[in-house]
Amino acid sequence: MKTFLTVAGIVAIVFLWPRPADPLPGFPHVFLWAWERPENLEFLDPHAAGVAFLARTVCLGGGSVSVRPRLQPLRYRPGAVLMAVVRVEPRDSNLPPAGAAADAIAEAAAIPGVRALQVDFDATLSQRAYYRDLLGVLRRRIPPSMPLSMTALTSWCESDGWIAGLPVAEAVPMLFRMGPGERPARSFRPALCQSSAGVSVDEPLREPPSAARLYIFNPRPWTESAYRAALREVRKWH
Amino acid sequence: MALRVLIVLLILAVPLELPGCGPFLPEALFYLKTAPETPEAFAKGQLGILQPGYERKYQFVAYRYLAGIGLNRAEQQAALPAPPPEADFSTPGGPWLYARNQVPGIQRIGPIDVYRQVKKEGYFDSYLNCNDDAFRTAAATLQRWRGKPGERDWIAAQDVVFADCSQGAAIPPPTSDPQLRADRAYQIAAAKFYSEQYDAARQDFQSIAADAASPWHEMAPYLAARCLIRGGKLAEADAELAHIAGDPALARWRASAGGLRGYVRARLHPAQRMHELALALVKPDSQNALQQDLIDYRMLFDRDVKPEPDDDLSAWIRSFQANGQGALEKWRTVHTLPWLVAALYFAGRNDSSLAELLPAAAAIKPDSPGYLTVNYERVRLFPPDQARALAEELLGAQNLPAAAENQVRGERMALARDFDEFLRYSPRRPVAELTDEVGAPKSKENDLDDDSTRVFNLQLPLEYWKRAQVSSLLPDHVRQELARVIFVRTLLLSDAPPFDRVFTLLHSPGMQLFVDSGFGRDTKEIAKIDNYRDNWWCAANDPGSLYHDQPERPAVAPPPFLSAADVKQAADETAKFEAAGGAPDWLGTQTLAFAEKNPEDARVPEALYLVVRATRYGCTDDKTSDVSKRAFDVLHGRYPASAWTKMTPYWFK
Repeated sequence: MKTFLTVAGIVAIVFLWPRPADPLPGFPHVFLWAWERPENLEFLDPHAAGVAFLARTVCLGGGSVSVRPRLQPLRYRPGAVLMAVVRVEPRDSNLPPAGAAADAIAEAAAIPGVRALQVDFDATLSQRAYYRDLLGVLRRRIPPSMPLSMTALTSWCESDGWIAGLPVAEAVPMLFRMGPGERPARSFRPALCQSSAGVSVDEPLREPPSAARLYIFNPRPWTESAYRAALREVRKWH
Repeated sequence: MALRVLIVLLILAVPLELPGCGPFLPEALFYLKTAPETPEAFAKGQLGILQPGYERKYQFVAYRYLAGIGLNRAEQQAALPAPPPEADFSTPGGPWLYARNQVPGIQRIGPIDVYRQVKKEGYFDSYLNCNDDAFRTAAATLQRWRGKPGERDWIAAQDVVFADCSQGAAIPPPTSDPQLRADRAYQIAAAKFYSEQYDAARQDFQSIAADAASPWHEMAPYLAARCLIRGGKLAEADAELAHIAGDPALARWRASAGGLRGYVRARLHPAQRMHELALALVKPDSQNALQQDLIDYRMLFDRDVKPEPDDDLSAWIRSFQANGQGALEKWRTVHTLPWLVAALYFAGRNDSSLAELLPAAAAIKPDSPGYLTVNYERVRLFPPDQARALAEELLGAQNLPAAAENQVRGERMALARDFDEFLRYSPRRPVAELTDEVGAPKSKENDLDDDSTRVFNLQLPLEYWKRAQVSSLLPDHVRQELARVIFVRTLLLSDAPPFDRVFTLLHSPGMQLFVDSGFGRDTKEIAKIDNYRDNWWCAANDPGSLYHDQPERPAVAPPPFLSAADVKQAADETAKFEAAGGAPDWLGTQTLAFAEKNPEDARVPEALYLVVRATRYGCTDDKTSDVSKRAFDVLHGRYPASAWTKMTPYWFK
């Protein structure tokens, strides 16, 4: 009886716990990731989808920070909802002070028209504490009203739980380019991982993600037809 | 329901540390399709067997050699230069900063941001605004000012100039100091240039050009033309650069102006410029301009400019990269080696054109850069007896590049008259390995390529596997792998698989139903679970078995050395393997049946534990959950006190 009550309690917690509110209220439920290549997204209706574009790459190494800005043109319709994505790449173990890295990332938040910031950092186990500090400083460096997003390896959302409590609005599990044999989960336990998911147009999913907001990656430059095809797929899921 | 939820929760609680990118397990490459395996040798004219998928810089090099033009040593380095070191973004402005920060009494400054964002509605981009030359020039000018009264003033103004590299529009103040006047005028013009005030900057540079006393007056016309380019006035820039290039008084700037004019013309008149470049690129001794010309030419090729230039180089590259479109007709007209190569490469065995092509191919001498390509195609197109003889002749040649040898061996293997010939030509030496990029192979052993493993896995009956396993024609490590597959296949073909062998298999996730091509399973220990789920085998045609080296369905006829009975035997065996399903299902079914009949057998609890483990780490399908649960239930129901039961706290969906 005691076991039954425990199990029932767990089930109740899982199923009855209130769903978290949208951490990016007012933002589109679909974002196209626009990586470093010429991208023309002028076909995109600003109300239908946002643009999460790689704005810069921040390299950490030798105790200092260097920045490689986006050097490929991005075109979008005026009024598009822009999210600046900053890729963080550590070059060696001699990482600079977290504040210096946060400053370099925060500059992307000042790009005209940018309404949210996303950090893409595949931090290793030994870099997690640093990443946590960095996000803490970064959160204070950007306007309080600007949502801070992060991409997440699926393992961060599946098992080890280290991302709990990070000062971000959402963690976007990337359900593509997984390890061999890995099949992405449909949903994740950590609250940060529940609202969004990242998918790729070239990797069909066996099970659609339950997340309400999707970030869609395309290994090739976006076209209107590729976008429409992706949108059709997404609409089947929701 | 509650139990199912608990199981799901427990699954989610399993600690796993799996990367979301990759992993990039090394894949053996036996020849490369987009680049030669040794670019240095290729640049010297050792073309090997040319591939239409090679990048265009390699197609250009190939064309030069096939057309008999070749490349001198300087041209070789210009055409295929060593890869540049990775761009260093950490110390932009380095030469200037080094010189400036050494000046006593000057406050040190840090790296300069040299990129500027384009400010435009609906557009985001950054560009390199201040390049290295600017910093080198500033550092050299500083040397002229060292120790002089205006030094600090000049440095302060130069700091203002470089601050404009990334943002702002600050302009150094004018000076009344006659010593500083000319340099300040240049600093003011430069600041306007970097702050995107191109018309104003152009006027200033024109004024400087007219000031014969200024040390900058010779350079100023060139910089005034750059203002036109930055301002998007390309036609005006073209005219002005043409004037500079032709002005004897500005001879020092002729090469720079010519280079910049090429950049402008590539954008103003792309088709015409591409045609000019193509003609320039096939001229002998073109080393001075070849590197930049080839970059511009490839850029224009990528842009698919119209109308397409009709020069021979461009037409040949287009044809060779588009399945030989028009190649035969062109070869009939010109009878040159590049077009013979393109026509042969895409010719079919039954084409009537072979009556013309093959005699022409036979006339190609061994010292020709096209010899290997042409003769590889002859092997492919010849009747079997002639093809075998030519393949063996090619394989007997000295210094045959490894990639070419692998390709010829592949053709020769396909022509095998008996099983020993098939085995003799199966092993190949990897020339590269692919992880997230192509690199040198770590293993020097010969391995099997896809063409032979496809025959093994789907077309050879078990008896042939046994013959291969004892044949000295195969490398030892390949024979060991065959032995393991034979063990599995024998078991699956048995009407009553002995449980001791099933038990062995449960302990051996490295034992598989198919032989892998290339480097094989990443985890070499047979008894060890592979972290990337390459354990046992997957059900045939399982779409989830992307990483399990499921053999492709044979698209070709069975090898001629197999009898009709052999072919039927192989098909029957393959049907049984397909019916067996994935390893976890088959192992579970066998184990559960044995457990039902032999509940007292001491191995049963361990075997059930291993079945559940297999359903976790093996290749799953829609039946696997049921197998996992049944094994779990029997283990917990019948053997609650077993240590194996305690090690099996959950089953797997």
